Amino acid sequence: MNDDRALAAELMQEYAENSPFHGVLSTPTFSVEGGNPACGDKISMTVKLEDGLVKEAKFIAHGCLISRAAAGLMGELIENKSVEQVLGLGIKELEQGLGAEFRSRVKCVLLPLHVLQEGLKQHQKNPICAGPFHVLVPRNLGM
Amino acid sequence: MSSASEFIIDQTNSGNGDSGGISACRADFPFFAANPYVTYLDSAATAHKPRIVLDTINEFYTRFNSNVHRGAYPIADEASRLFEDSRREIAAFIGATRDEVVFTKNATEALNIAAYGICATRISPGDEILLTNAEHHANLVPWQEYAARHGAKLVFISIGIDGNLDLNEVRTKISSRTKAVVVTHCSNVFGILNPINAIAELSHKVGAVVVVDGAQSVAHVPVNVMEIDCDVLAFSGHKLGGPTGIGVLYAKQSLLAEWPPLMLGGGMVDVVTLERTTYAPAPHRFEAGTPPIAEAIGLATAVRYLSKIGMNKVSQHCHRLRALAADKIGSLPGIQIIGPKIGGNHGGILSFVFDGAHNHDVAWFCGDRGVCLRAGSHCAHPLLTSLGFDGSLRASFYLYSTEQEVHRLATTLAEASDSLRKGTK
Repeated sequence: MNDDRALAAELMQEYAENSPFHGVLSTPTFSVEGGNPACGDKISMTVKLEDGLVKEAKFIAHGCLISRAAAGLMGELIENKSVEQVLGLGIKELEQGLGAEFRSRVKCVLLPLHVLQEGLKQHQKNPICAGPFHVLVPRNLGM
Repeated sequence: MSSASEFIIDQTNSGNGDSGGISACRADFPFFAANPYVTYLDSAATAHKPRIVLDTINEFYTRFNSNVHRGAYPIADEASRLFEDSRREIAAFIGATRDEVVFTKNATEALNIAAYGICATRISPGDEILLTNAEHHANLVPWQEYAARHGAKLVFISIGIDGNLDLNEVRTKISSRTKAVVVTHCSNVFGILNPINAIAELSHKVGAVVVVDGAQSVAHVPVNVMEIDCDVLAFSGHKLGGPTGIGVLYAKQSLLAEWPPLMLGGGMVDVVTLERTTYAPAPHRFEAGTPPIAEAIGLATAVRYLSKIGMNKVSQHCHRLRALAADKIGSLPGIQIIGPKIGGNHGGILSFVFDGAHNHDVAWFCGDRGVCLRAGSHCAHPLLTSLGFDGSLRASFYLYSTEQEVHRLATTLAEASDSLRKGTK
């Protein structure tokens, strides 16, 4: 394994195993869950909104290293961002943050963000509902 | 003008076939020349195509392209004749007659037609359909849907981690209420061949029809519908070296005659008025719209190619590579093989789980090094869940696979074990 790859692998391991965003918020604005039926990866999230900002989100993720690492990174990326900014995040920011390109694993990288973004959209449509919202993940996610 | 009799390429010299032993046939598959560093161990998902199949499809489109059973001109007649000759040849490959073979787009569509037809004609509220818990979703979901519509109950035979189907459980669960017994010939997870003959004997005693998913078996072992005594058999073309977009539904003529068609439209009709329509006889009754013409001709070429080599040889080769792989990787630390490590009657499929690393991470690690494996639940969620896994890895072999590839698999998995299991919880 060359140095870049080793570094990226180490970073992903760190995000996947030691993210401070693992867990469940005690007073979330809403919760959302979704999974990738093709591989069985699943994520559930509790999200706190305040004045149009995503104050915090915590997640419980089951799945491959990449989807769990992407969830850890996502926790960092979205903190105190506006809902619009979070809805504008995509593969570019995730790949940048994880220091690697994923090509065949785009679906794994995007799963947590997709579930959160769809949860935010469902909450926008129905702001008094706290969920749990269920997100159907398309088979061609990121393609 | 050109005629189909001089169709293409001299098909009597269609590749290495048997002449140089089965290992020589690898040269017949252009994929490997185009991808010399790839170790392709995912043939149970889809197989590569011999050059003769690619050339035949190209030749069809170049010289004979026209729709079938429609045009009143010579080239259309040639296309129709090639299409129906292909049906005859594919039927013969599984020991059936031409009119018992319906072309579909894949095995899934074939199983849908069967489930729809059987439930519409043979199921009353309270009846039962007996399946195994190891069915591919293609042979489970249609039965769930159509059984529910007709008030039937699904009853399951449970297959455990050894992969063996227990005939005593079949005996216990089959009864006069059982109207269909639905079973895979070769599980795409275990790779073990189920005893269809014995199941058919028990089923026919109570008047139940036997529906067999042959998606893996027809590609890997000789299958003769008369010998295994099934009533329905479904398989896909692309898993045995044919193109994608074509599947086969075999059903006994008496069944095809009683089933309503699932798809309606042109090509499957007899008399059409604005008020009502009568349907053509089988098999065309089940082939609404323009059928997969080039695909059928390509699939016929693939079965001709396989027949020339001999399905017994294909089967022995895959079985031997599976045994070698089970031996090599079964001894690596942290790997558990699903199904028996040795023995059993196998297609070329070996599933395993990797302790301490997610199956997708392992598959990705291997893929990055040119070793193509399948990871996930293999469209058999209930089975994997019942075994206590959220997925597995699968290596699958075909006639062009080599011992060297098995060794490369073992080496790469050993590297993955060193790399991915470090620092895991």
